Amino acid sequence: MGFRGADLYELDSLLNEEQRLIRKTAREFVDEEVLPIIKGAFEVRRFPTELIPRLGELGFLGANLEGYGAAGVDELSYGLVMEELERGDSAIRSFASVQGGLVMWPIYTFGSEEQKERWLPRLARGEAVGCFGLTEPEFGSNPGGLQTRADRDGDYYVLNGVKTWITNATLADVALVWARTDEGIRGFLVERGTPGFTQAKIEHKMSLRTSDTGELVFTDCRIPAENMLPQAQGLKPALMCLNQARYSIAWGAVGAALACYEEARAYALERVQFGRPIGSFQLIQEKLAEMLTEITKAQLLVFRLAQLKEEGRADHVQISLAKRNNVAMAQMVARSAREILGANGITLDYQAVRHLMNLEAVKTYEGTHEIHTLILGEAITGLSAFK
Amino acid sequence: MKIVVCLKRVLDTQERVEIAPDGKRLVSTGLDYVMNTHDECAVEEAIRIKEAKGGQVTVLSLGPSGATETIREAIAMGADEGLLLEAEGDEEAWGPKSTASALAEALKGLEFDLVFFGLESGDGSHHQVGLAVAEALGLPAVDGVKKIDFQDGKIVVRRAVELGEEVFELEPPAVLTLVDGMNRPRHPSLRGIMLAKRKEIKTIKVAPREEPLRLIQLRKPPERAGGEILGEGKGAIPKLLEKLHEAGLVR
Ligand SMILES: Cc1cc2nc3c(=O)[nH]c(=O)nc-3n(C[C@H](O)[C@H](O)[C@H](O)COP(=O)(O)OP(=O)(O)OC[C@H]3O[C@@H](n4cnc5c(N)ncnc54)[C@H](O)[C@@H]3O)c2cc1C
Ligand SMILES: Cc1cc2nc3c(=O)[nH]c(=O)nc-3n(C[C@H](O)[C@H](O)[C@H](O)COP(=O)(O)OP(=O)(O)OC[C@H]3O[C@@H](n4cnc5c(N)ncnc54)[C@H](O)[C@@H]3O)c2cc1C
Repeated sequence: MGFRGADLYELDSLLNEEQRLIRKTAREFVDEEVLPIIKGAFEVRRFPTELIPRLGELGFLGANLEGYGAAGVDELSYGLVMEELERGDSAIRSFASVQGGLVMWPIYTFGSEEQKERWLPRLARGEAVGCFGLTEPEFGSNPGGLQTRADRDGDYYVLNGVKTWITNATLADVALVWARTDEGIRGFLVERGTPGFTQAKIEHKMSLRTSDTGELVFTDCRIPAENMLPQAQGLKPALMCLNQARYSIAWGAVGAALACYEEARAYALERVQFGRPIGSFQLIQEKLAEMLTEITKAQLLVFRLAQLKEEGRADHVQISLAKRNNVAMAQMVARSAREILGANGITLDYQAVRHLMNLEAVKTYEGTHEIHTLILGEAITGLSAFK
Repeated sequence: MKIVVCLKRVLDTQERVEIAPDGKRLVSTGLDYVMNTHDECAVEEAIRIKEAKGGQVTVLSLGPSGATETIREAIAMGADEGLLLEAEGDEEAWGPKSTASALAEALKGLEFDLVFFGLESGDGSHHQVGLAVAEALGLPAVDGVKKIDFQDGKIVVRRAVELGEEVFELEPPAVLTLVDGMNRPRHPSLRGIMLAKRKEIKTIKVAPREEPLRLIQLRKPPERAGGEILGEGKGAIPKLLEKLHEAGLVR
């Protein structure tokens, strides 16, 4: 039986024909190709690279872009795909968010025609993998201070510095790297194998274990000047990319929460203690009621956010609120689900603990929960607490 | 190879389906309709043949205007074009006979080497339409095909029978009804879905002919008695054997 998620406010009835079909494709892909392998992949910390061509074939990568081999779907459909992918695992959604929102979107928006033609079709088909290098060992929440240098030398730039906590770091065929030049921060496309560029994995993660997270190290790495994104100047373009990825996280978190909620609900109806299904106890019902309430609110948030984004009106405050709320919501739901599952809930035979662990990283990356609080605080008061 | 696939939009059986108060129709509490599963395999098979040998896949469906969604799904999978016969009149008037005669009429206006049907529909389960269309068009038909091969200009089809399989050689044009499970239908890609969205689907309104078959009443099967849990793991085996002996199922 295919997955059916709670939809108390009948948002499904607002989907049009193609949106329903797109979700169906994503849903069946997750049921048939992600869920059967994800437990093993998580346990041994392996990214299922065999899924990359499938993500490409099905058109999930950079799906909301037009042309260059991208599917050109609307923002709501894109959100629905992200929701389904994260129902599978946050790592699969992370892969797609980075490839689509943090690599393809900036090339599409800030790149030259040659850069677009060279990279977008291959990235869309999953024939090439991209990563996004902003964070550095000394600059996480404060990327504006980044220290990686790009110094002009004739027709080349020479890169020196370290990027860390980079999703897809070792899988990447191309890294979009943000570095400081004499004219301010600029974005550069660095290809795998360029002398002076090394890619290394971060080991021993307990969250997003399936995701490929690592370091990019640049030591006198010479790259042609035409690899710089011509239209991206300063930090703002990098932050604009984050809005794309944060949007997909806000949707994805709903998927993770639904996976946990539906599993816990089914378990509560079957598991008998004290002679009755545990679902009949008030304390369990309260948990389920909280879970459904928060999921429903989060669904309504992203649905409206999709409409705003489609109209080109979604601003960074609206996106921050949704990322912040929905990830915290998903964490609460995963934790409650874990509890309802009792001892079973600590094993990978059930989904809750995997999602719970994953969501720790999701809460931190793309702007920590706290930083989004400060973004909202600034929007509310006009006073910045962090700049 | 030009193939026409006839497909039907049916209620999603995953939805809670109830019998309508008049006792003659199924109604669903949900909104979902899906492509009939046998038909989905027929679409997949047709697309694979097109990919291997070239040609064209046309999908033809009789149903309400909403069935364009199902036709689009087939186009998103890789079919080239679609035609909807929009069924006018009462749902009751559209039995297997009137459906088959409307489809046969439409097929006379289409070019094809093969016509594919699903073995039967998930809702009506009459298992008649494909064969009735073949009859109306005077074409050879093989029912319940599980494999199609092409050898020296001949079409070789296999169908499962009780003790093995039957193998037929055909020359086009012919009608085949295909069984679910003969292949694994692909998921339409997002690119395919966006392409299908822009495709115009030709619609022809059709009125039912005489339908000799009348549905009198739908009835639910009797509730099955709840099972009995004999125990868990190995410990349950002796009791299970005892029960099977009692029932005369093992000796
Ligand atoms: C799995 C994973 C994948 C990632 N993928 C990428 C990627 O692909 N590309 C990329 O560039 N980066 C990526 N990151 C990095 C991520 O964006 C950073 O981890 C994040 O921005 C936080 O930075 P930090 O870890 O250095 O924490 P810090 O900035 O050191 O923050 C530590 C704590 O202090 C809090 N804090 C910081 N400043 C303030 C303040 N002013 N007021 C109150 N609290 C504050 C934070 O909220 C946090 O709780 C990834 C991280 C993870 C875990
Ligand atoms: C790592 C680990 C080590 C363990 N070691 C031991 C050991 O050494 N020896 C041993 O005997 N056991 C051990 N246990 C078992 C542990 O004590 C049980 O897991 C615990 O009692 C909960 O039982 P359960 O897992 O069957 O959950 P369940 O009893 O099925 O509970 C499921 C959920 O329902 C809730 N619930 C149940 N009844 C009610 C009610 N009436 N009202 C409201 N909510 C209710 C629970 O709080 C929980 O959220 C261990 C468990 C773990 C995870």
